[in-house]
Formats: sequence, C-alpha cells, structure tokens
Amino acid sequence: MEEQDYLLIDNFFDGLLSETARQEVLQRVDKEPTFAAAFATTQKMQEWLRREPRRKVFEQTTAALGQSFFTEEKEENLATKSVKTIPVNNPVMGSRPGGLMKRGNIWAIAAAIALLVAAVWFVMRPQPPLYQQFALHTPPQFTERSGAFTAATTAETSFKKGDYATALTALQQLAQQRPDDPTVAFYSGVCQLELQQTNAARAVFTTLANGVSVWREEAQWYVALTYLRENDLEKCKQVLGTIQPDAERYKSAVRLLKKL
Amino acid sequence: MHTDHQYIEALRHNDPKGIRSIYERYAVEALKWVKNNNGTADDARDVFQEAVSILFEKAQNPNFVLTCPVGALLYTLYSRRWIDHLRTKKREYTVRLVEETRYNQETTSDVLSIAEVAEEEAVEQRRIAQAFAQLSEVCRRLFALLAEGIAPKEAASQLEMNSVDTLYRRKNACATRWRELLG
Repeated sequence: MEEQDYLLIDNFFDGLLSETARQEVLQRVDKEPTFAAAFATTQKMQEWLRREPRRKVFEQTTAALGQSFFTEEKEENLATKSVKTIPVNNPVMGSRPGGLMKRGNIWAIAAAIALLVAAVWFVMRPQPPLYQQFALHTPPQFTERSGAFTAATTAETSFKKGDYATALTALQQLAQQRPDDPTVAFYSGVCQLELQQTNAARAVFTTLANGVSVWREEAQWYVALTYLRENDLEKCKQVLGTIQPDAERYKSAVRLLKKL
Repeated sequence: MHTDHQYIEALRHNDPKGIRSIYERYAVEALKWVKNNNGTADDARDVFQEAVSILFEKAQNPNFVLTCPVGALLYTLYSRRWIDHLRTKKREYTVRLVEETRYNQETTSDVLSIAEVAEEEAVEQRRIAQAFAQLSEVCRRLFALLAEGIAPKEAASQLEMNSVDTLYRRKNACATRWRELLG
C-alpha cells in the first residue's frame, strides 16, 4: 500500500472524489485484499467517529441511571433467595454429621449475619439530601445544526458540565429562535431549578404539565422537585400524589413519597 | 424479530425514556445476581452498564434485528463480565449461582452467538477508542468537529488553520497516525 492509496481511501470517505473515482475505489476493494483491509479499517474509524457524539450522550444517560438504580436502598430491598453453590476451584468440602452444624445451616447463619451487618451499615451511613438523590437530569440533545447551532451546542456542553448559568443563558438565546420548542423550555426550567430560581422553574414546569407536549408527565415530576428543593414537603407530597400509575415517573414518585 | 427489539430501537435512537425502561426492567436482577456472587452495588452497576454499552454499539448497526429476549442477552453479557472479573482477581471464592430457571430455557445458542459477536465488536470499538485517545489534541479536535457536522471551513477557522486544504492535509496525516496506532 502506497501513501496515495490511503489518501484515496480518506478522500473517498470525505466525499471528495468524483463518482468515477468512487467506483474505481470500490472496484479495488473487490479485487485487492490489502486495499480492502485498509478500506475496512478506515470505515470502522469513520463509524466510530460518527457514533462518538451519540456515545457521549448515551454514557451520560447510563451514568445517571446507574447512580439511580444501583443504590444501597435497592440492595436493602433484595429478598433472600435460595442459592446453589458451584465451586470454582473444586474445594474439598467433606460431609459433616447431622444437627445444627449441617452445611445448609452454616450458610443460613452466615447469610443472616451478613444481612444484619449490611442493615446496620445501611442505617448508620450518612445519606445525601433527598433533592440530590432524586434530581437526576438526563442531558439535552439538540440535533438541529442551523443558525441556532452555537447556542444549542453551548447549552448542551454547559449543561453536561453542570454549568447551569451558562446553559440557561444559551437556552434563553435559543428560545428566541425557537419560542414554541417545549424541549428548550423544559431544560430552561431544569437550569432555573438547579440555580434555585424555584418560582421561575415551577412556572415553566406547570405550563408544560398542563400542555400536550412529550414533556407533560416529566414536567409534573419536576413541579414536585421544585417544592422538594424549597423543602416544602407538604406541597411536594400533594404534587407527587397526582402522578398517574401509568406515568414513567410513578415509581420514582412512590419511592420519594415513602421517604417524605 | 423479537418483541424486545423495541429496546434496540431505543438504544439506536438514544431515546432516554427507552434506555431508562431497560434499567427499570433489568437492573434489579443484575444487582441481585452480582450481590449473590460476591459483588457490590457498584460492581453490579459497572457490569450492567458495560452490558448495555455493548448492546448500544450493536444497535448502531441499522441492519441488526434482535431475535431473542433482551433480558437473556443482557444476563449473558453482564454475568460473563463479572465472572471474568472474579477470575482475573484470582479470588478463591466459590461462585454461587441463583437458580435462573427463567433464563435456562432462554439462553439458547441464538443468545450466546449474538452475545459473542457483540462482545467482539465491543472489543474492536474499544481498540479504536484507545488508539484515538493517543492522537494529538489537534487531531482529536479536528475529527470531533467534522464528526459533529461542522462545515470544513468553520472547522478550519476554529482550529486556526489557513484553509480547508490545510485542514484536509492535517486530517489525512491524523488518519495515517490513527491507523498506525491500530496496528
């Protein structure tokens, strides 16, 4: 493979070749194994690059979900199940006489002690405030690339970094170009909530909750979060009680109500 | 096509609600299984996230159609990763397996072959990512800008390059270096 072969392949993927030249490249892929291998490698590189922005959003989403779903509380709620032991290194476990020291009883006692220790540890450990436990925000993703590009990118990147002040400024600029976009409104509300501008945030979420956009149910949950942020637990409970069982946030609402 | 293909579509389109539904339905089982096999909640979170990430990469192929239960596939992926982790640590623990009667019937050769292919593809993606991480900052920024859809002229301006020709010359050099790192 010569350097101009790699250049040809790169130009192919950059869309810089004429149709005739493109067809010549594809013919070489069919006929020349070495050229085909280099083509395949470059194709994989291009695909990886193309997916990278989406992968970053995905990783943020799953990181937040992981924090929410794999908690000590979830461990606490696990029921004890019967288990089958399969030794990895074939340890010798001789049979024992009957009575209290049977193998099954030893495991049951050990499991009970472990559960007791875990329960004591769980109760004694310091808990983060309720708001921090439940205010887990999925980062925004604005896909349009037009004149609103810069504000959208600034809003996305600042939000992901937790710089809600900069994100809010960018979202307000974006709102001038997209005054009816409920996604822009929703994330403006989230930024205001994080900046403790709870009245303004609640106004945004209440409008969305009373509307017909895809954010309607989520906004209802966030109205509850605004009261939680203010430590107005009674109003928070009232709003949580209005979340319907078929709503996506219903389980979160039930969990939060138990803690209030 | 299995009815669980909806989860693949959610991953394919980065739908946060659909991805959340994967966690709502399968995270507790993963937590339970890892805890029963000498792991912690953090361990369960990590192996489950790796399993979902492998499915995410698989879902990016627009031609991929799920033909098995997604729960069985996730279980195969995260359980293997956890057992490999235990063996890597050379722990002397016994591996206690919960009676997985639900999955015994569903862990078919179909599930195993999809899992193996998906894991191989994920290894390849990691190799590409590791090689990319070794590129210079300029190369990484250049590729990132073009991948985000920034016009070449704008990308050249942001990177303080004189012209689009300069940008593409630099891009070709970066691609050559990236291929070298891939071996």
